[in-house]
Formats: sequence, C-alpha cells, structure tokens
Amino acid sequence: MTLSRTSAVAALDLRLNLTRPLFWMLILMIGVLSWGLSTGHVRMGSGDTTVGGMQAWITSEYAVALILPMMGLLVYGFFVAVASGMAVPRDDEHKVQEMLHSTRLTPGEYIGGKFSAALATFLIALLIHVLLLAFFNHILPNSEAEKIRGPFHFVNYVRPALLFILPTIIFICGVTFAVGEWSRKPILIFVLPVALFLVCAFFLWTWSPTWLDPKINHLLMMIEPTGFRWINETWMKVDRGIEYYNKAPVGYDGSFYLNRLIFAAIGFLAVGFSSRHFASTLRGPRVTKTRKSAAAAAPPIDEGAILAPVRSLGMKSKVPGFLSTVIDVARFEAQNLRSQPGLYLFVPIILLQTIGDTFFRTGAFETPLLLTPGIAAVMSANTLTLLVCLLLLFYTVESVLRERNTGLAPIVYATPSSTAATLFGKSLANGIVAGVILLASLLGAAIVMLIQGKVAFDLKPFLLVWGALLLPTYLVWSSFVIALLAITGNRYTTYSLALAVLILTGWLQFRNKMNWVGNWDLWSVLTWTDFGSVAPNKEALLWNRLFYLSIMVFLIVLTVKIFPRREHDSTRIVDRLRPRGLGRQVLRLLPFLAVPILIGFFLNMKVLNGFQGRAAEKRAKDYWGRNFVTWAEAKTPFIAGADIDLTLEPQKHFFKVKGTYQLTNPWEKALTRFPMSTGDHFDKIEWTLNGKEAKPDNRSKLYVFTPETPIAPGDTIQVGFSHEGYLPKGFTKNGRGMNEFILKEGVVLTSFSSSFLPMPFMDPERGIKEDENKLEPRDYEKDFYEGITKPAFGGGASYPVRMKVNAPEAYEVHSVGVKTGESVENGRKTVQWETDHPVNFFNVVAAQNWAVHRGEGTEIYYYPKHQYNVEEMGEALDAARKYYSEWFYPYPWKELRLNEFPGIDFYAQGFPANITFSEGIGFLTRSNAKAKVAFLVTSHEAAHQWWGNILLPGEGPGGNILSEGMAHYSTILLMNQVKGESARIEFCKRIEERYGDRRQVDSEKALVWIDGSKAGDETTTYDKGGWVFWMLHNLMGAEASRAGVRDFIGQYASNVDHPVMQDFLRVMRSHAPDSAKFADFEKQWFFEVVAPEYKFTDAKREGAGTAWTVHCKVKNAGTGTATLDVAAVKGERFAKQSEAEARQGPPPLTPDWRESRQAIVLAAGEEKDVEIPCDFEPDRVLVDPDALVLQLNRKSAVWEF
Amino acid sequence: MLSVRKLVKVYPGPVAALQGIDLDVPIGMFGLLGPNGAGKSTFMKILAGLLESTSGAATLDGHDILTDPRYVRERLGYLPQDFGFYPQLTGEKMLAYLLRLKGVESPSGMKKLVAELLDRVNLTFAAKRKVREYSGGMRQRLGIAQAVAGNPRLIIVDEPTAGLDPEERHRFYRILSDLARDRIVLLSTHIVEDVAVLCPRFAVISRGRLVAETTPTLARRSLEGAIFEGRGSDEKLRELRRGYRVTQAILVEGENRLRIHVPDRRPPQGFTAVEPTLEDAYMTLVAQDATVDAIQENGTEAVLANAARVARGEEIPS
Repeated sequence: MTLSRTSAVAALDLRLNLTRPLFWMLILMIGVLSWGLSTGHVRMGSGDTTVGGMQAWITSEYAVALILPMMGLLVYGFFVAVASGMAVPRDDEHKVQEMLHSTRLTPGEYIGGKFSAALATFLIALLIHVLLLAFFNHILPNSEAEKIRGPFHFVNYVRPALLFILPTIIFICGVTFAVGEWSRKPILIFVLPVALFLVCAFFLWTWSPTWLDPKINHLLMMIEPTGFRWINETWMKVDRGIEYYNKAPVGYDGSFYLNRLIFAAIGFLAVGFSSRHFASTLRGPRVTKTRKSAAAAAPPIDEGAILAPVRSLGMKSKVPGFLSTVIDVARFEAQNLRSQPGLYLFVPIILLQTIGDTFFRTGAFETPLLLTPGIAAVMSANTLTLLVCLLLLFYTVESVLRERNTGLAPIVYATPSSTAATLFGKSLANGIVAGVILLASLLGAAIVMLIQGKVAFDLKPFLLVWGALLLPTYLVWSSFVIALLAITGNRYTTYSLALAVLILTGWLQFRNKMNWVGNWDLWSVLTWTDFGSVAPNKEALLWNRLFYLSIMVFLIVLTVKIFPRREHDSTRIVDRLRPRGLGRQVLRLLPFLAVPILIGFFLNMKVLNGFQGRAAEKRAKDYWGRNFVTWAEAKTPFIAGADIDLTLEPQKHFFKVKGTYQLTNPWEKALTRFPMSTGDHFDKIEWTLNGKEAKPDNRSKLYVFTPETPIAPGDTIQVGFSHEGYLPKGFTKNGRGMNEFILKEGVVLTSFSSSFLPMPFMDPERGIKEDENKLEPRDYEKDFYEGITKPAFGGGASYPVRMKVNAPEAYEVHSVGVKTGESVENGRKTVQWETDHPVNFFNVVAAQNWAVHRGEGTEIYYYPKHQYNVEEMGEALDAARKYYSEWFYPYPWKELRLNEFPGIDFYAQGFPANITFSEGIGFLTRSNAKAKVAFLVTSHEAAHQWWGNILLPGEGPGGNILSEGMAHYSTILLMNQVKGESARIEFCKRIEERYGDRRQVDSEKALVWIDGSKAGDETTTYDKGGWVFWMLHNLMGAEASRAGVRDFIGQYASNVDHPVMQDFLRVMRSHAPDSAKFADFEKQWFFEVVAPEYKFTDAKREGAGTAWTVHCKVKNAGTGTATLDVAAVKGERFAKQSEAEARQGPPPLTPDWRESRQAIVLAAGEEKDVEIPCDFEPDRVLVDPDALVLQLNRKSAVWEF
Repeated sequence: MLSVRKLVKVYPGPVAALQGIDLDVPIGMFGLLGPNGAGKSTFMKILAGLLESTSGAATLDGHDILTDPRYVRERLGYLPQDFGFYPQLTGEKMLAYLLRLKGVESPSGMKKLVAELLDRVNLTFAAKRKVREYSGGMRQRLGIAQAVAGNPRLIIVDEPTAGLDPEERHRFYRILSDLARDRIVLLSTHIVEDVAVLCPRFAVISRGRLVAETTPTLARRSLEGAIFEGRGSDEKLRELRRGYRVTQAILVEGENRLRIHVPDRRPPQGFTAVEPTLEDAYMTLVAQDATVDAIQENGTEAVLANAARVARGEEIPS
C-alpha cells in the first residue's frame, strides 16, 4: 500500500465532494442554524429572566456542548450518510471500477482513499461550523449581546466539536461507507441515519422517567451515539445554576470519553471491514457448489434449425394505456421493494418507537396516560410524517433514477409509455413504503392497547387522521421530491434541497413562525377528541389540505413537462427563457398555478383575520397600549352579583349574551369611573348603567364608564350588557391556543377571561408579546399583604350567580350552583342554574350524550366510552367531599359535579361545584394498583373547591401556593386516608422527584416570594409547596395542623381581604404546639430555600443470627436541617397488588418485611455516624422510609449490602 | 420515409455535433457509417426522441417527430449503443416488462411471446437467470430482442453487434433483414463490410456533416482503378501518407500491407491495382471530408469537384 495512490484517490474525491451542492447545502444549513442560535432564542433553561439578572450565555462550553450533539445527528447525519455511503456505489454507476482496479491500485488504497476523502469533507465542514459559530456568537451585532455573550474562549467551541460531533461523524461516515460498499444499495445507506434519528430523538435523548434505574440510565448513556444523553443526564438534570454553566468547563468523565472512543472506533472498524470485504469480492463473488452447478454452459445452437422470421410471431403494438403503465411500473417497483432489505429494517424500528413513545407518555403531574385510537393516531402523526418523508425522499429519488443508474434509460424512454404514468407508477409503489410504516405504527398502537387491556381498538381514527390528513402530506412531498429531481436532474442536489426544506420547516415550527399556509406537514397541529375527532380545526385543516393538494397537482404538471426524458438542448432552453417563450410556458402552467395561489390567499386571509392573526394581534396591542398604564393597577369594583342569559349555537360557534352585573366598591375611596373589558370577538355591544342606556368610552375594547355619581365605598351599581360573537372567531394561526370554546363537540366558557362576558378590570396579559413588550414581574414590598389584598384571580368577593342558558336540545349544560329550571321547546332546551352559596367565579360547560356516575353528593359527567377510571374518580370525589369538609371547612354547595370536556386543550379547573376536566386528565389516565393516578388527579382538583374557591388566595407572591400547594397537600392527606400509606409514600416520592428534576437552582426563591414568573416556580408551587405543608402537618401534629387550617379558612373565607402565605403562617403559628420548632421550620422552609440531599458515605453490617448492627455514615450533601429516620430494612415493605385487590383496600406489609430505625438530625454539610441494632439480617439501609422529609436524589440515599 | 432536413445539434462548449444533416431514408435497411465522434449516436438519439435538436426538422411518414417525439416512440424499436438492464431481474421478466412498456401484444399471449423472442436471440437457456449474471453478448441479445419486438415502423440500432460472435451477428442480421422488407431499419456500425452486405444504401457522417449518401456499388465503382495495394516498411508508410490517402495499413509479420487511394491512377512503385472495397470508399470519403476542409482554405477547385463527385457516388472522370 502506498500513500501516493491512496492520497491520489482521496484528493480526487475530496475535490469532487467540495464542489458538490450537497456540501454547500450543508454549509448553508449550518450557517443558518448557527445564526439562528446566536440570536439567543434557544438557550439553557436556567438563569434569571429579570433585568440585570444573570442569564445563560450562548458562548459557554455548556451551551455549545448542548447544541452540537443534536446537530451532529440531525444535520450532519444525513449529509454524511449520502456522501460517504455513496462513495463506492458511485464508482459502480460510473463504471470506473474495472479501469481503476486494472491498475496497481490496491483495494486497501482505494477504500482508504475514498473514506479519507469522505471524512475530510466533513471535517472541513466541521471547521467551518466552528468558525461560523464563533463569528455569529461573538462578532455579529446583537442587541442582547450583553446578556447572552460571555468572553471568547476558542476551547468552548473546539472541545465540544471534537468530543461530540467528530466521533459522531466518524461513526456515521464509517458505518454508512461500509454499508454502501457491502450492499451497493443506496436505500440501505439511509437506514442508519433514519434509525439513529428515530431512536435518539424520540427515545434516547428524551426518555428519562423519574423511576429509571441509574444503572440502566448509565447504559443508555453509553449506547447513545451523540453524547447528548450523557451531558443532559449528568450535568443538566440537576440544575447547577447559571453561574456554573456560564463559566465552568464541561466536566467530561471517563465513561464519556469511552463512549466517544467506542463510536469513533466503530466507524473506523467498519471501514476496515469494508476494505477486507472489498478486496475479497473485487474479483467476483465466491461461487458455491450450488451456483457452480447452476452455471452450466449454454447449450450448442441447433445448426440445422431454421428460425422462423420474427414477423411470424404476429406481434402488434399499441400505445399502452395510462392505467396499465401505472400498474406495470408499480408492480415492478413493488417487486423491487420487496427484495430490498431496507424496508424490513425500518419496520421493527418504527414498531418499537411507537410502542415506547405511546406507552410511556405522561399527562398531568407526570401521570401515565391511556392510549386511545384517536390519541394514538394523532400522537404518532409527527413521528410518522418525519420518518415517512425521509424514507419517501430516499426511495423516490433512487426509484426515479433507477433507469439512469442501470443504463436502461435510453430503452425505457424510447418506449411509448407516458412519463406521467411511469412516475405515477413509481410513486404508487413507493407509497408502499409509507403503507408499511403506517401499518407498523398501527400494529404498535394495537399492541399497546392490548397490553393496557382497557381500550377497544378502532380503525376509524387512524383512517381519518392518517388517511385524510397525513396522506396528502406524503403525496405532496413525493411530488415535490420528483419535481426537484426533474429540475435539478441530480441525486445529490435533490437530497440536499429536500433535507434543507425539512430542516427549515422544523426550525420555523420550533420558532413558532409557522401558520396554516406554510404548515405542509401538519406538525403538532393535530388534536383529537373522542367527542368529535379533529375539532376544532376542521375547516382550517380542510383548506390546508386542499391548498397542498393543489400544489401537488401543479408540481405534477410541472414535473411531467420538464422531466428529462429527452435531454434538453441548452440553446432551446435559452430560447424558452426569453420573455416570449417564458411567457408562453407560464401561461400554460397558469391554470394549475392559479388554484393554489387562490386557495393559499384565502387561507392566509383566514389566518390573518382569525383571532390569532395579525389584525387581532394589533388590536390586542392597542388594548394594552391604550390602557395598561391607566388601568393595570387601578382599583376597580368587584362583582357582587351576576345575572346572565346565554344563547348557544355550538354548530356555528355562536353565542349571544344579555346580562347584568351588580358591581360594588370595596375600597375606601369613591370610584369615579371603572373599566369593562370585552372580548375582541364581541359584536353588537350595548350597555346600560342602572337600567339606562349607556355609551361608555371605547378604548380598544376596554369601555370606561363614568357614572354621574361616583360609586361610594360599599355602594353598588348595575351594569347591563348585551352582545354576541363567535368563539373561536376564524381560524387559529397554527392549530393551538383554544382553551375556551363553543364547538359542536362541546362548550367551555369561564369568567376567568372575557371569552363570553365582559370583565370589570383590565387584562394585563392581553397584548403582551414575549419578544416585544413582556414586562418584568412586579417587585413587591415586604409588607405588600398588609391591608386589603386583591384576589389572585376572579372578580373580588364572592357573589351569587344566575345563569340561564338556551342551547340545542341535545346538549346538556352545566354551570355553578344547582339547577332551578329546565324546559324544552322547539328543539331547544333552556336550563337555569343558580348558586346556592356565593362564588368567586363561574363557568358554563356543555356537551351531548354525557353518561353520568353518581356518588354521595357527587356526580361525574363523562363521554360514555371513557368509563375506564370513573369508579376510581368517583371514589376520590366522594372521599374529597367527605374528608376535606371534615378537615378544612364544611363544603358549602349542595352538589359537586365533575364534567369531562373535549381534549382540545389539556387542563382541569376547579370551579365551585362544577369542576371541568379535559378528557386527557383523569379519564384517560393509566391508573394502576400502585400509582392510583386517577384518584390523585381527582383529589387534587377536588381540593380546589377549598383551596381556590372557599379560600381565594391573594394576589402577590406566595398566593398561588395556597391554591396549588395546598391542593397537593390535600391529596397527600386523602391518599393516606383512603388508599393507605404506600399510596401516599408513592405520591410523595413522585412529586419530590419532579421537584428535583425541574427546580431551577439559582432562581428559586423562598416559598413566600414565589410569584410564578420563573421557569422553576411551577414545581416549587405544586410539589415543594405540597411537601412543605405535609412536613408542617407532621411537625405540628395532625390535630393542631387541621385546627390551624380550619381557623385560617374561617378567617378568610368570605373576606374582601385575600390571604397570602404570611397570613397563613400567622394563623398556623398560633396553633403550633412548639413555637420554637415552628419558627425554625418556618424560617427554613418558607423564608429560605433549602434542599437536603442525603448520602451514605459508608455502611456495613455486622452480626449473625438475630443480632445484627448496622454502622453507617450519613451525610447531608444539601442544605437545611431536618430530623429524619435512618432505617435498616429487609425485604419489600408493601405487598404488590392486582387491580382487584387494590380496590379492596391498601396493600398490607409483606411477611418478609423487617425494619429498625434511628432518628437523627442532620444540618447542611453535616455527616453523622449512625448505629442501628437489628434482630434480623438487613439487606439495605436507607433514609426517611416514610417519606416525611423533602430531599433531593432520594434514590441515592440507599446502601445495599 | 424518414426525412431529415438541416438537422443541427450543438452541445455546450460549444461543440457542433451535427452541422445540418439532410437525409432521406426509405423503407429497407439503411447503413450509417462514420468515425468515432462523428455524430452518429447523436443523430440516432435525436431520431429516437431521446435528445432535443438545436434546429432542423425530421419527419416520419410526413409526421414531425422532433416536436412530437411521442409519435416516433409509438413506432420505434431502438437499441442504443450503451445501455443496461435492471440487474436483479431475470431475462424473461426484464423483457416482459419492456414489452409491456412498449405496448406489445401477441395472439399467443405475453408469456409465449417472451419465450419466442428469447428463442430468436438464443437466450432461452438463460431466461430464468438474473441479468446481472449475463455476459456482455447475452445482454446485447436481450437488447436486440426488445428492439425488434412489437411492430415498429422504424428500427434504430446503434452498434448492435458489439459483443456478439460471428454466428450471433449473422442471426441478428437475418432478423433485421427480414424486418427491413417493409419498414425502415437504420443501422449504425463500424463494420463496413456489414453495410456492404446488408444495406442497399448508406450514408457517411463525419464531424457532424453528411459527407456521402450512396450505395455500396456506386461507392466502390467511384474508386475503380484508383486503389492500389503494396507492402512497405514503416518509413515507407510515413512517406506514403504524405502524398496519398492510405485506406489500409496492416502490420503482418513485421511488414505493412498497404492499400492506397491514387486519384490520378499513377501509383508509386511496387503497388498494383486492386478491386476497391467499401472500406476503401469509406476511408476515402472520410479523408476527403478532412481534405475538403483543408483544401477549401487553399481553394483547389478540381479536388473539391472530385470530392463532391465521390460524395454523390459519381465516377471521377479520368
């Protein structure tokens, strides 16, 4: 082997690679993405978003190291595969192999040269990438530069590039090179990047449930080829704070280096294998015995035979019909597909991916969800679209080029079969690829449903979603690819352009710049509700599909016109491009172009004029701009009574309202004027004031009333209103964003916003855009809660409501309170609801054909096929009504209803006596004997009757914790009461892990200062809040704790002053048996941020028989001081239960279970020796077995002997 | 009748592959000769509807086939010079597929037709073998089978006998000759003797121009008395090339066997007159074409006139 021949091969290939469009398209993609990333819109989820607060730098090594692994696969992967995998097959196509290998060139030199060139190409691309990143991040002007750019360190770019991307490139380059050389089949080359993409993007990068065994997690890190899982799990999962990420170098460890080395080695080994294989097959395949016998010589020609002339065969020929050509070509292509191994490889991949993705999907509070046919069809749409489009790209290109690559083109193109029929036939056959993938996914979904054992399989949703909606995507994509091929005539250019389109589409989706006009792949726009399929976007979907089908027709016509069946003459092309020639061409294509232009224009208008369109955005901005300064903090009247007549036409999304509010002035000073905000979609608005017609000042849908006589403190005034509108009005922008709606499938309206009623205040969030005018959260004074505190939500003090609703007879309509009237006339139903106890807010929910489950003073209204968890939910609702009334405050309303609504949005709301759950919450939760998630979700939402309704928290920091944190705390108590200790421990651990995963270390504030403005505030509010109240409960003792809570609610239930955490603590303090302990606890857990983390630094057991002692060292590696038990245990504590056993009662302790405990107090950083005598042989030692102390990384606080 | 008028093809470069071909091809076998790069394949591809011309016209039975390539495809049997097949298909499947694309029908049914056609080209024994296992000659025969299938009005075969042994070549020409009785068969080949035997008429294309359209007899006759044969060393050969057109120079046992064209019939010493062959005429015509260019610069009328006569198949007056 000589270097000169190797380098000659390498030099030639490198030169070719660097001039190919494929290479420059990759550089362009890298450039565009690097620029996009340098704008700072994609950053680590850490850091303080307030002005002056430290933010995540885009220039830190961590920031770069998080982005590069994904780019290594998603961007480089396909380009590398195409270039490297085709290196050897390309020479076959050019028929140069014989000439090359009739020289002194050895197989090793050939393979070495080819691979070196492929690798060098992408090393050059990587170098350009690093330079571009550095340029965009440090040199290109950026208005946010100060916040997001740190000092320039070249190592921040070079090290991640070398350690993350380079081994990935070597791996993909080497393996695809080997596959290309071994198989000489282009399709197989693409298997690797597609498979890697699926497995990584939908599993290895994202799947990390809280219950995952650390050893399994480590294994997954080792087999993940890009290094992303390693950095995410090792360094990002537990937030170390922005200061750290901005300045510290990435802490690469041995297993990381090993992972990178292994993947690089696999790439090189693959090339080594390829070299040997090439050498052994260069002189033809080895002939087996069977083949030898088959390769008999041709029999001698019969010399004497005089062959009849060809004309005696009586042949005739006619132009083959369009359909028969399509069928013939499709049949042939299908046979070819069957013989290709590529397709068979994708099937198990997609099967596994579907099962993994759907089986492990989670909903509220990370609870697992049931898979239904509709949800399966919609959930898998994104993955299927991506995978099918990639496969269609590769199969279509190779199929269309097959004639050319095999040399059959001159013969085939000289036949009378039409170009259109040939291309149709190929497309039809390639559709088998899509069909196989869809079938595999269908099978995966069916398997999951079978394992679930609860939901019946139904094909209809799949036919609707995949057939009517996704199929046009595949058709338009295929026609686009063929058109690209017809225009460029080049395989590599087609690949580059098509991949660029996919990447750019993904980027636009990611940046939320997509709308119905551009959304050709329907990425993330599909929603499914069992109440009525793909509501609410049916019309938008229809026009979108028509638009793209019309584009498809145009592309087909264009392709048939320009497809290079006959090589074009360049002089004629110049002629054709002259104005007259071009004009003629355009005129011929115009009818086909006109249709998509018209439909696209129409669709664009619908989006622009819709409630999320530019016109609406401008109006919202006007609302904000004109009113924010005056009204955002102004004192406004509270609602003291509401009397509403509502007419609904769900089929048309129409509503009409006539009603009155009694408004009262709760303030110390008279109100000379007050605002009423209406929805942007309200039409024909009319007002009265104290019964007389009024014409308030209209400030962009905020109406300012100036009564003749100011409203004195304590006085009331009556405002009347009538209006009508549509909800939703027009199309969404891109399918999402409807949390209140009037649809044929169901109605959800609330008084939280001006969805159907005006509100007596200014909505400070309306007209806010993240990039433009988002305000910093208010900085509250330390004594902000003194005096009257406004409510966190709602209209003020509680009030009576009368709601009369007229709707089509088939609809059942529920609101707050009790039903006081119902009549049916002329196909319409009128139902009246009145509150039997005042409320702070109200809602209207309606649907057709609800089934009902009745309990003790409770009812659950649900879609008839969603009966899976209704029993468990009913049990929770009954228990909540009973026990919360006992523990906290008597439930004041007569009825407690829970209503299921279409899953167009995913939330639950605890309106007084009339709770609403979307179908994905509770009803479709995958509850089981251990997790009881339907019970916990229902318990949480039921708790809001108390925490949020009876007790309405105040506006300001810590307020919402009294709602959500208390709801979690209530759930803990109820689980303990009804389902037993094991269920309670399970729930506590679940929310503790969630807190550990999601907290933001450097921006977490003390509980009393949590205002919901930071990324980590949600988990602090719910999970930490729930835990802290639970710990307080145990500290004070159940009796004292409940007494305190009852007292607290009693003081604030009907108070115009709404409480926050300081008020709660004041009341609880007065009930604390040990005030010193209370003060210490309050200080740590409410006014500071502590997070204990316990570890065993050493442990051993000594003894024999029934006399054992465990000696261990326990350290608090976190912060905070707490008393906790250290337990030496043996066996499993609670018995495993089946579903039936779980219904009977909580699980008993297992007969093997043994434990022995010691209580210790550990301060921050403290380590203690603990000695635990046992009369059994312990198999492990652990801390806090009863889940009584909130801590991080509980799973690590175990020592197995 | 296949009529071609002022057919021009210019490739980017620019390279003038065809510089205005005028040709009428009647029913029967018509040969097309020319050196490599003369434009024969370009000419054939344009007629087969696989390549656009730069300008010019071509009609088949009065129908414009340049603007309507579909017309010719419906009536065409085509065997290109350079082609391939799908390697993973068997011979019979490949042929069946192509017959279907050509819309070929037969009273005996497709399966039998395929078998018969394969028999005609002596591929029955390999019908069920994958094409990738075929030798070069076997692929050529399969190509011939698809080219003659159907009832084509026009058959274009470009170097059809490459890779065929003499026996196969004769078989193939028997098929073509039979077909040529009532249709146009345009045969391009380097084997001049094949044209001499098979083609009543032929044309010579050189450097994109039609330099001759004549019959083999006329072409030979135009050289009667002007072809001389002798032997000589390499040095003699070099000397002869300076003054004469050498139509053949074969090295046999260290000595050149030479044939030269002497228009004035005054040969050099040691050369005797021999019967001209079509190859002599072809070599002369091609050489004349080059000479015409060179001489045009010098303007020697007589030589021009003679070249023109040869091109028309006329005798050169003594």
